[in-house]
Amino acid sequence: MLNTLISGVGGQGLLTLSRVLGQAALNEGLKTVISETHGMSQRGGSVTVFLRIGDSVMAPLPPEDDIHLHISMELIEAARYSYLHNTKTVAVVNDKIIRPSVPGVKIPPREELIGNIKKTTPHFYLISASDISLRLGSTIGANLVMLGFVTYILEKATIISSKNTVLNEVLKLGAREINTRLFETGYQEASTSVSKETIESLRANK
Amino acid sequence: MSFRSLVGVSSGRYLLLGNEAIARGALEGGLGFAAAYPGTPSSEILESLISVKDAVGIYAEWSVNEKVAFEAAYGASLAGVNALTAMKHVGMNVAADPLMSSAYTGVEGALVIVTADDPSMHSSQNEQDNRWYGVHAYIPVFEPFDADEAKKMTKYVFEFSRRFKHPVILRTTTRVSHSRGVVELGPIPEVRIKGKFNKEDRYVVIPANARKNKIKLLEKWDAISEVVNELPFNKVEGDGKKLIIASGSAYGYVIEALDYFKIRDKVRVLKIGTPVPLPKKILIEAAEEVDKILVVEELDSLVETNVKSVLHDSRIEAEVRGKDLVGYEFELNHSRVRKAIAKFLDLDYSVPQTPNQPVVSVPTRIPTLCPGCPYRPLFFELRRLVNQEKIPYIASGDIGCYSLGYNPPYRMQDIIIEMGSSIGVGYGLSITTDDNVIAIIGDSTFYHAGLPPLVNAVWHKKPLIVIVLDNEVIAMTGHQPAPSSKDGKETRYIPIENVVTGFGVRFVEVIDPYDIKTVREVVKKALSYVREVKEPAVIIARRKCALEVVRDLRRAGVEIVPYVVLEDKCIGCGICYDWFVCPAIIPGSNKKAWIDPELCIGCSACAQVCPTKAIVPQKEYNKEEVEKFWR
Repeated sequence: MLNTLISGVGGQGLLTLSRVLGQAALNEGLKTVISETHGMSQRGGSVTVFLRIGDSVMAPLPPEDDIHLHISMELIEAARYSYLHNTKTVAVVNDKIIRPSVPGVKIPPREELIGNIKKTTPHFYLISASDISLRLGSTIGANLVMLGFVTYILEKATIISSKNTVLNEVLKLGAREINTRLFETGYQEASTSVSKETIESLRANK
Repeated sequence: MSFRSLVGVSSGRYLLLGNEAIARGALEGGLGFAAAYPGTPSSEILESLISVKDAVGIYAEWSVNEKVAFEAAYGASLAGVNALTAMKHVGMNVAADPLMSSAYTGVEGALVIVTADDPSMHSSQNEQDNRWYGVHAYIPVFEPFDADEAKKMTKYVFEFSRRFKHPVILRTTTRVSHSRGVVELGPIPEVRIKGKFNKEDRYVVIPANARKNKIKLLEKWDAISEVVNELPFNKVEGDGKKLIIASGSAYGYVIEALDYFKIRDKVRVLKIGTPVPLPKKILIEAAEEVDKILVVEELDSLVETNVKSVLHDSRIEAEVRGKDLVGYEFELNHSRVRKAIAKFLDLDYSVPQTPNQPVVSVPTRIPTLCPGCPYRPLFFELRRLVNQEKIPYIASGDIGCYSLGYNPPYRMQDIIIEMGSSIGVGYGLSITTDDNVIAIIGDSTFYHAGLPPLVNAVWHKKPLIVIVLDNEVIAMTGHQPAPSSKDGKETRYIPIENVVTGFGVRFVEVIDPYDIKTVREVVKKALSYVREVKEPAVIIARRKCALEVVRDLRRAGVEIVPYVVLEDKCIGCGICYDWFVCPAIIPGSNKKAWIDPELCIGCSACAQVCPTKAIVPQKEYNKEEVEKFWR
């Protein structure tokens, strides 16, 4: 059983990311349950989506002490939910801070956020997904960069058989050229930075 | 796979949202007519059905409120057409009047009423447990635990409702409605959307007929109470001296907890799919030779209370635990259920078992008005006006995106209780206080429940200002159309100014909320009007929802040019990020503003609040062309 937490800010494309990944898992014949957040919190609020893969999954939410993979689109949200990490949790985090819209709000410095998340797990990866997306000419593509990155890990951990399972679903989103480039860039990033230990850590949940 | 692309598919397993599974089950159950008013977490049911209405040939609509939607579906069912209505839990309060009578008259075609409850109040004002409506109204309640069962159950309840000529409630909770799961599809039968209404006395609930109806209703209830014992949704698994009863969504958590403790084969589990009426025979059989029972259910102790009553009547002396171990408030999760089961069975378990405590204190992130939201400049200017001119006021608020105007720095929603209340409650306050009462209500909420209280205020000539925030759509729930929407092909646009003028309101002004100078002038004018004339004044602030505009701009291939801050002109006053508070505007370490290009949608609204004109478009663009999309 694989329990994935996807966190971020409403509007960052978390639902798309989770649906593509979930559909890809189903295409591989795996039982998949995704618990989504709709409604009020989508208006720029803190959003969590839970994706569970495995035949013994019965409930919509995963146990709080059993998160294997945390994909976060935003650093404050990554820090907020990093208490759910254990030393085997793989955390893939977009290097992006979105300021909560509260007058005079105090935000911890980026380095402090990163340092604190790092303390929770050795499998921490910081991706410049938003910057990469902007560089490739998209203001809304950071989620696909993240997806490409995570797909590499899932493929190497043999949770999915091939990256094409996921890429085929990405292509169905339209804007094929730019979306493929976003996805592939994330995938390439992972291929040069993800450690063997991380892949083994995730493979153990297969 | 979109829901629509599955119309021609009649087998196979697909990943569907719980609400999509309900829509699919309805189609497979022979649905012909569907009507609803949106509300989280129920909205995707009708959204899905509307997306396929032409392909399948059903009738489906967004109605003006839950009561009207209910009546429409009820009417369709009286003609023998299979009908569905769906609503969030509080929507059922609005529809409660026809709901009660529908059980008395019975129906002809199926009438399936979906209530999506919201434990933990993710998007709601309360967490009422609508299974009680079934008890209250003598309407059976079905409760699925996941998406696949939601589809199967929905399909089945259409048959059930037709067979008993009786309405059926299908109750979900947020995690059932908004969880995507693997769903087995079946064929969609031929659709029937026309029928015939047979005139019968049972439909006329004058007292003489209603008394006869009541007797028949009780007979029907006895028959239904028998039949629920034969349904596959109620079943016993495993064996042992301990029994756990799990209703609806609780079932998944209970099974996973038993797996966790590795005692799945040592405990008897009774899965309940029909909490109302409880399958008594199955319960009595399951409770035989059992010494202890634990009831796990989300929200109230409905099943637990009934179990105790049934066991008492049957002289079964097992100990029954439930809410004392599980708790009443908020949605279920694994640790709650594990903890309850551990206590119940004397197992070792400690909570919380989260590996870390929160590692760093991070600011809370409340939902907020989107970049470009037309409500922001209006709230900004209202706040500035009442502050600068020290105007005593009460901002009577309502349900919608503008509820977010409660948040600082606007603080322009002093009371929010339910749909339409801004005008009704504001009216009461306008009589009993000396403050200027400003009711703030959205366009769709106005049509949903704002009309009667405004009529009342005009009728009784009371000094109330009503600001209708008209973004021409039901924004919060995902952009469903309302009578205020202009671009419907099958619907007629009803301008709010025409309605309120017809009601006899004599101060009616339509303004653009982006034009904050006019906002100020018109609100001041309205304040003196209600003071002097002592009658209601209505201001309609009209501009499209920014999310819709952005979507349309992207579809049309129009470039969205973000705005930027000229650093040398910015004086770091903070008006744009601390008082206007657009999420795209961020203070730098030198207090100067910076605009995030990932968030900015180029609406230009912030440019007018900057005292030094430091906010400008990143490059030249055709403002008139973009402006067309906003109107």
